[in-house]
Amino acid sequence: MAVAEGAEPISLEEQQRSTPFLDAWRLFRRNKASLVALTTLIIIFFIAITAPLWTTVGLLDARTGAQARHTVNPVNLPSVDPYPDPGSCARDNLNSNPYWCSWLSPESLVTVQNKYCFRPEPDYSQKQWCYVLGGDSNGKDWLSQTIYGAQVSLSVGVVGATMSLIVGLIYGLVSGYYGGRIDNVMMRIVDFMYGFPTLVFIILMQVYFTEVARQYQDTDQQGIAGFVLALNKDMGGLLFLFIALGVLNWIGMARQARGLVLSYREKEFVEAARAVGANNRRIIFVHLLPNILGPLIVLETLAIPGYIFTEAFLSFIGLGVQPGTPSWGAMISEVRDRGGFFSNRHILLVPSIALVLTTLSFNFLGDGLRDALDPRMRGT
Amino acid sequence: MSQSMPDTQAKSAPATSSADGRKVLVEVTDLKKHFPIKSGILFQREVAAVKAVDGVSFRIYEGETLGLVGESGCGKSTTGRTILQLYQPTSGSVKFEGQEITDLKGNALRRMRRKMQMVFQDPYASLNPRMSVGRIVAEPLVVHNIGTKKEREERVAELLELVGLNPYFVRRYPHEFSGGQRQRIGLARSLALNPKFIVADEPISALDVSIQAQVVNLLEKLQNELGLTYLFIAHDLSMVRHLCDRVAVMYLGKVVEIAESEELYTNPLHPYTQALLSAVPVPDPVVEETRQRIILKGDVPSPINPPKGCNFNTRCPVSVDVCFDQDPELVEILPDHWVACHRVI
Repeated sequence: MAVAEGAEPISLEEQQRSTPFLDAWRLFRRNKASLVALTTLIIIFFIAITAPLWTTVGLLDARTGAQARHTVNPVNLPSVDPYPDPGSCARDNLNSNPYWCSWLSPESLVTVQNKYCFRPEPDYSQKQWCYVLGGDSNGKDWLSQTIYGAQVSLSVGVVGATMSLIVGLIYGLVSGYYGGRIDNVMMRIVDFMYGFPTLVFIILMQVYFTEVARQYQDTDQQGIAGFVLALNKDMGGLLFLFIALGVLNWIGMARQARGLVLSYREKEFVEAARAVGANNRRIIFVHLLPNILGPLIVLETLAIPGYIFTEAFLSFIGLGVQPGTPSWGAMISEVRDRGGFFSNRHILLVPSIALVLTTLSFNFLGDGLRDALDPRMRGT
Repeated sequence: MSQSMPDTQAKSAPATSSADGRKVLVEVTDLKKHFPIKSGILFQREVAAVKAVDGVSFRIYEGETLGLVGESGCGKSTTGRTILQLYQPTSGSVKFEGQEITDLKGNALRRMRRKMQMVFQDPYASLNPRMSVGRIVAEPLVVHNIGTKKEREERVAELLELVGLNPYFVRRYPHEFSGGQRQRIGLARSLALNPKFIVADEPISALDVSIQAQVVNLLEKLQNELGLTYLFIAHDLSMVRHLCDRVAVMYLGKVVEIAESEELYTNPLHPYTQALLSAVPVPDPVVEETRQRIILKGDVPSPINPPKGCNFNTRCPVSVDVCFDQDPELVEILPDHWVACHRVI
């Protein structure tokens, strides 16, 4: 793209901007699968963030529907006990809230599952409330659980990714840039961490703290254990999971970051910056960091499905979120434990499809990001 | 006028004929840069060293262009970088305007950097692909905290015009430019701080021949306008002859001959220089076919294990016994023509 020197000056507005971000976006657009994945993820994120809009009443506990309405995100969930009477949600909220309990459903879908549609007798003028995808054995709406489970999974993915990216990035930057003994020591620590049985560690932590919580259920637990338990409860049982994910995955990121720093450190523009007189801090943050961020983000995006699966797996075996918090893994476990599968075949499909859709989308997104960021870097 | 300096440290630095009146800008004395080879898992010991620069001495006078030539791997680039203190020299001294710079650190070193800059070889790797051209050229000003934002913008526009680029290019990114243009951007960056001395490390090797001419003309123009002094490191001998006032020839980390440009090309004294010059093709086909080429046998020895005595003795066509015992010193054979060879002394 050689432009003749001394040509007619084009105004800045007329020039087609070509920042690295715009170039990457143009390359990203070419990959159709990743565009679809991005759209899907945006939709999933949007639904998860605006969950209360779609699941106004009776979402988690049909019996205490009015109370359930206030628990709009998993972090604040109280632990609820199952009641036997599923119709009270509609009954309680009839007068105060004319909206649907769950997703809007036309009259024709009434026939789907009679058990899950409530029309409070004898007032037939009111609209019918339906659980569109059915409910679990406790009478909780399956769709609403899925939507709130999306909140849990996405938060696990995002928090896990962010934590491991930040920690790994800083660790790899310091280790790769300073080299020598510092690098040696830091990488031996990473090697040690690689052998660490993190899953066992998570399970042990969960089991221990659950046991402690059970023992001191009535008394107000003081001290560190009490604080940790309270925090865990507030987060719907996710605290240990976040800690474990932070401990697990930053090492892969650190290794990759270090490798990238080692290769970029010898490039001539870094030498040029040194020749100009830039100090170490400037070289790290202005020259190295923007260049290595691309591949690291790709790596992180491709690692998110792993975080989501880990959380689902742990919830499935009962060592993840607390019993009241909805999670896709817990939903699958529920189908296995309490049945319902043979009367409603679709019930297993819902959380499974949600899980698969989310993880596949992240995978394709990561692929698209890699296409967008790598070819341009190969060109320089 | 052939006197060697009574300098006890240096092997023998070329004399500054003080009657000459020329001011010495850069004085390099017995500069050495060895890169250690370490071995061992936890406690690494130095087992050998790559002697990239092994005792180099020369002077660069103000306003001139000194060419530094030699084959790949002889240590030219390392010499250039060590002079600029991008590498810490293993031993030896570098004096800039009479002031010793090898022991400067921190802020003093940074202030020294304003006076000497470097232009790099690879136009594709010497510019940060994530920074716009304006930011790249303004970086020296930002690092040294010079001027307000507006003043910096003006200076960047001025620099781009100086090297022959349209100032509207400030917001563009390096990958949108051709090799020759990128080299100009690198040149603009090195001029930002108004340096006196520029080390040009093979600035045209990666460019097209037609573009090479443009860039060399630009270098000459800038030298005249701004009064710059160049250390021009290259391996294209014909270009060096055109551009440089004096030329130094390096072999395996040592300088073997320094002379004025025309003198070197018409009267090369060191056998290595003679072989090097005979490798340059002559544009006249009749002459090219009939002339005698000196072809050296063998390969360049490894810089980890330089041969005892003269470095060139493994390939020299005229070596004698003393060449295998003693390292020859750089001696002024003719006025301002220094050679390091036992056969010539």
